[in-house]
Amino acid sequence: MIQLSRRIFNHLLVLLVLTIASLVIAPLLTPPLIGGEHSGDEEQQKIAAQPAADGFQLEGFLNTYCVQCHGESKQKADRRFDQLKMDLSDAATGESLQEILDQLNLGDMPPQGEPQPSDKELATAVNWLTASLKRARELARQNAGQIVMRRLNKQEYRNTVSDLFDLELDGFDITMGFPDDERADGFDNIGEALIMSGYRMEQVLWSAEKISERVIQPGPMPTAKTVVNAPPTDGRQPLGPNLLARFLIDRDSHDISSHTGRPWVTPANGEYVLKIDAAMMRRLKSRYDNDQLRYYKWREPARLRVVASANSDPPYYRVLGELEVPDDETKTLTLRANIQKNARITISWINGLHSSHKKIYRKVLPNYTEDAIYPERNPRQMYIGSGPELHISQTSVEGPLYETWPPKGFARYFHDVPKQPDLSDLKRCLDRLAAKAFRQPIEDDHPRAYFKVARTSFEEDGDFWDAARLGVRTILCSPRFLYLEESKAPAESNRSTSAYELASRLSYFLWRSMPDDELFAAAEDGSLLKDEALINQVERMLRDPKARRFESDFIDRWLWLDQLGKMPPDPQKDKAYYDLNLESAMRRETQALFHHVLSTNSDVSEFLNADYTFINKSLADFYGLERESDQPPEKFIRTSLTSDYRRGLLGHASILTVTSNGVETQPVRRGVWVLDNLLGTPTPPPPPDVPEIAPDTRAAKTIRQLMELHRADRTCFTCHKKIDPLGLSMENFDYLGRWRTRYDKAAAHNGGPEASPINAKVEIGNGDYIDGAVGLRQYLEKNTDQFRHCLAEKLMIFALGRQLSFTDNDDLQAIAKNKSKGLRDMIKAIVLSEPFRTK
Amino acid sequence: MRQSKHPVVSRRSFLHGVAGTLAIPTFASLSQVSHAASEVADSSNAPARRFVCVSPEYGIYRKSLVPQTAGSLDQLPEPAKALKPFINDISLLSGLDHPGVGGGHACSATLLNGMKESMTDGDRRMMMSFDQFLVQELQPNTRFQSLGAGNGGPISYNSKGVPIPKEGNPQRLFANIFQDSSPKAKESRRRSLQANSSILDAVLEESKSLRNELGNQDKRKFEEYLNAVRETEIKLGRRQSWLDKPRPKAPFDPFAIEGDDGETRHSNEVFYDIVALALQTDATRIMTFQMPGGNGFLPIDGVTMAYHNMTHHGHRPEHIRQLRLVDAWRFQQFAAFLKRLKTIRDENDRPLLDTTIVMFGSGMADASVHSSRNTPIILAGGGFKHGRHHALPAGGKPGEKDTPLCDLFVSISHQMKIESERFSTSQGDLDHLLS
Repeated sequence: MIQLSRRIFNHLLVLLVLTIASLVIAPLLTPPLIGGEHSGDEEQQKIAAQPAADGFQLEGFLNTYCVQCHGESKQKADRRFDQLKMDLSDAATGESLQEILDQLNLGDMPPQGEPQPSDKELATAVNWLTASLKRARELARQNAGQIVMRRLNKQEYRNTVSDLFDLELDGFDITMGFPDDERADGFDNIGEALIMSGYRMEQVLWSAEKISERVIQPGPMPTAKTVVNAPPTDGRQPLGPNLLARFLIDRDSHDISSHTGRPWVTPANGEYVLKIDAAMMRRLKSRYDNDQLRYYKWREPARLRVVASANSDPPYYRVLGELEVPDDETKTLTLRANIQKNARITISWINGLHSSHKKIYRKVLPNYTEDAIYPERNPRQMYIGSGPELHISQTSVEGPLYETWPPKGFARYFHDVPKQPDLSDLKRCLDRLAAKAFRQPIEDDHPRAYFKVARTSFEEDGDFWDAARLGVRTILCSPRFLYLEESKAPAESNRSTSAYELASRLSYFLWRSMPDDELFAAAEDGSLLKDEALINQVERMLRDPKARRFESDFIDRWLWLDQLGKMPPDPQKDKAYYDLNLESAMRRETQALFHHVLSTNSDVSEFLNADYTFINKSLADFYGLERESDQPPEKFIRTSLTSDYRRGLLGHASILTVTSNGVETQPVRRGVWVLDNLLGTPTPPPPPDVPEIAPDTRAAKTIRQLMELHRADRTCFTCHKKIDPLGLSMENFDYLGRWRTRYDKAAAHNGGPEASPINAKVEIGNGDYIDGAVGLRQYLEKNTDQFRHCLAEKLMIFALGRQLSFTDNDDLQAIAKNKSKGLRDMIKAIVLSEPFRTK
Repeated sequence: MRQSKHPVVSRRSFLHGVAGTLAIPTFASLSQVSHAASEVADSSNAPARRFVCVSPEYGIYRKSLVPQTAGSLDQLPEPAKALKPFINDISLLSGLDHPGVGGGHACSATLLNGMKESMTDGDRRMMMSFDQFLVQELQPNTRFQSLGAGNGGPISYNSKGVPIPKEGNPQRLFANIFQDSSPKAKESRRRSLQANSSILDAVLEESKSLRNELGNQDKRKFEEYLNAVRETEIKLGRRQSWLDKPRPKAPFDPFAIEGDDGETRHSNEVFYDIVALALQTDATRIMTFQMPGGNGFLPIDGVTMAYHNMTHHGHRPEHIRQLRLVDAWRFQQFAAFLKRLKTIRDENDRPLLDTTIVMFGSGMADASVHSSRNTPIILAGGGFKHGRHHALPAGGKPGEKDTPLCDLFVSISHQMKIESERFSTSQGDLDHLLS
């Protein structure tokens, strides 16, 4: 008896549970999937390569309905199916089966007028084909078990450059022109999918040049200076409109040195201390109606945003910070920040004037003084001292300041270059850098392209540092830097990774970047290959702040959070979304839950049913929750949930928003999200030529009715009977995750659905129901094991940087099965597993 | 599936019942470039030398453009009235589709290739877009072999199926085409190019030793890297050879033109002008210009809804009223562009439009339901026979096949004297309608 793999079993379980009993029963009982638990066994594989025959015969089906036109006598469309080899390991068979499946799904074949299969026969065939194709895909991947040389994706590239050179990349966007990374299984770190194109190579060259200029800093430390900017106070100069702006800043941004004639720019890269003497006058004691003055938010303290920017290549733009301005008294506000060379510093009042001064003089002031319409009699400065004004009386910048000189990233590799350097110095320094950049020791016989290029330049021009820059550039363009490459396995019987390769796998998994010195040391002495040392490293790495990169990158892909903001709501209708910066708050909430579960090693079922969440004041208000805290409003505080429906990830606004389109909910998308990301049983993409469901709301149909119509179509039914109930059960959450019990009345205004009450109770087959969001949660809780399996699978794909093959199945089962352990244990188990430690 | 021993046969081609259609447009053997295209011709039926694709990302509302009946273009709907003076310069094709692309957000991105990734079985080369196919076939000796302008999702893909970035800032686009750098900047550019060339040389040489260390899987991936390096070397060579040639002078300054009421013009209008200028000065002969979707507010009188919300009209009257205003605004801009191309003279003193094929349309045929089916396309200039609305079978009804948009691409190739029989999912051509 051949055993069903757990994964397939789970898949079937869902099918069973979700099946609306009337139609499809036979195919579920005759699964063609045979997942060999002992994948190494040849006999097993041979059996697995053939579709199971019990209950259904494709040959019979084809002979009855297809071969007449696609057989020996006729080969319409150049296809014949009478000789189809039923060997799923043959890619051509897979192609043919996919074609047949598509045709059946489309309902185009058999053509009208020819004998048609019954609905039951059709459903059986579709299910059989879908399952067999899944199997064929697994077989095709069999040889792809080993990790493919994997290009660093954008994020990994940035992190690596930053860690390699201790470079602050905030505002210095070296990956600006890089094309988006290709994806597979929803992840953007899959070696097989990631492409290197000529276009990307050009960007890599450009980026390498910029980085080398930034890193090689052989000169003396730039001297720090303090520049003070204050408007003239001798009173002789009339207060013209331009001068006015220096005192009272409005909606435009202002250069901190605007009155000095030519704008001041930072003389060098480095740290600067910025001081701004500012006061917010009469915010609450204005003589005018502040609402008329069109201030964004006069009820909250004024805030200044400080920005550094330069028209450099790449353009530089960095928000240095936001400062709250005290009311009615001048205080010195201070900010320290790293700023790039040649940058201007500007300040703007971000919650201040929404209108121009001119408009206020023309439109608002005449309401108070009729005479104001004659500007020549009533110069503008007349009004100073009556309304809310933000006064900047002085600014100063001190810098550049350095903790150490030369900069750390330079000193790390070039600290011992003598005054009269020679070729050996060049080689030594570049070797030192290359060993880190390539993440492994540089052997003596290593071909040193970087040194070759640098030497040629040094010998021709004699400029050591120009040569060094070229060497750095060459290193950054080498495949050894751009790819995580591993040498081929020494033997079929020994596929273990080397200690250095393991170090890289580990650090790109948990830090999304290169190993640090300690990890390199554990690779060098080989201790990393021992379980205990490996686990110690995992513990250490997860404690490191760099592990936050893993947390956010992983959940961005797993939960689709990277798509948050791609379909934002109408800025007028949902002003709060923008005013309260909800997009980032939503993301933070979900990140905080993941961080919590990881750092406390809690059970992963917390993702399904946590009765607490992490929210700031804005999100608490949005949810209508009490945030029990005297902490600052922007802090994300653990808060108990009072409403049952908010529990777990499915109560997070981030998830509910990302599964909507900014206008309305998309139950299909939500159902697909749950199947893909929580249950791990993705449905195939819709067959071609079936548009996504979009309601014709003129008929005042509810989305539910429409989806029922949609499901009635037999091609749609097979998948949508699984998808739709899950999505519809979430209808009480609107497109931003707000709770609702009726559809929006506003929609009815434009002929949309009536403000009808929402019915979120759905049948899932066999007389079972899911009743709304709470019911869905309970349903998922019952399937916690399946969720655990799904999460383990996603983590494993992310950790390995490749799609899983059925050869990984045993390890995946073992990892997912261990219920007593928390998320951190799951990660350790992945690191200890054979797929992670072998090629 | 990528390592299939069998030639990649598109499943889509099967779906549409054409025997053995190869859906890979990248094989040079499929077509031959006629060099007539690059020679100066003096007859009025000279081959079209230029191709411009203009695309609003979310498409247009079909009834804003497509008349009830086929045939004459006299009955263009109200929003398209700006096109009326040009009815003899344009053809309207309705009923086109990219078979197999179906619904979803992806259809905007398939306008010029008719392929989404899921249709390629992992062979992304099948995703090369039509503009890049033209570049490959015509190999124009211009500073820019092609140029992408505007914003929004990708529509242009290179021969490896990788999206080609476009320039979204009109100032930068203009500067890139017309602004010569200082001798000092040129010198530093030259040094940078030379250094990069020597870096690539050295890396390529080093890579030979690396290849031996790799397993079979990796070798395939590694070839990709080597190809990228080689491709870049060629590109850098091209850059160097153009470095000393002065950039053309723009015949007028598109930023100096004021809009109505002396206001700054909308960037679409500026982009259109730059496209015209780039063609006029032969900076490039192949261009794409995309107007983005998004949920912002368009500066049109009477339009109060955010754009994306509006496109999900669900047949609500107010949504449609505003969409028609947006479309009318787009057609006014497009008509002004056509007018400009008619005014500008080409190298043989003919209207530039006569030797420039302009295509206006979107892969998103109906944004409300996210469908690619029955998308309307305006084809202008290029020496085609114009003046009619061709209502092609749009599929969807039993027994009716839809008409692949790629058939039009084949006809455009023919008009540019490329002897190609196929492009992507084409099943034939539309020559009988257009010549």
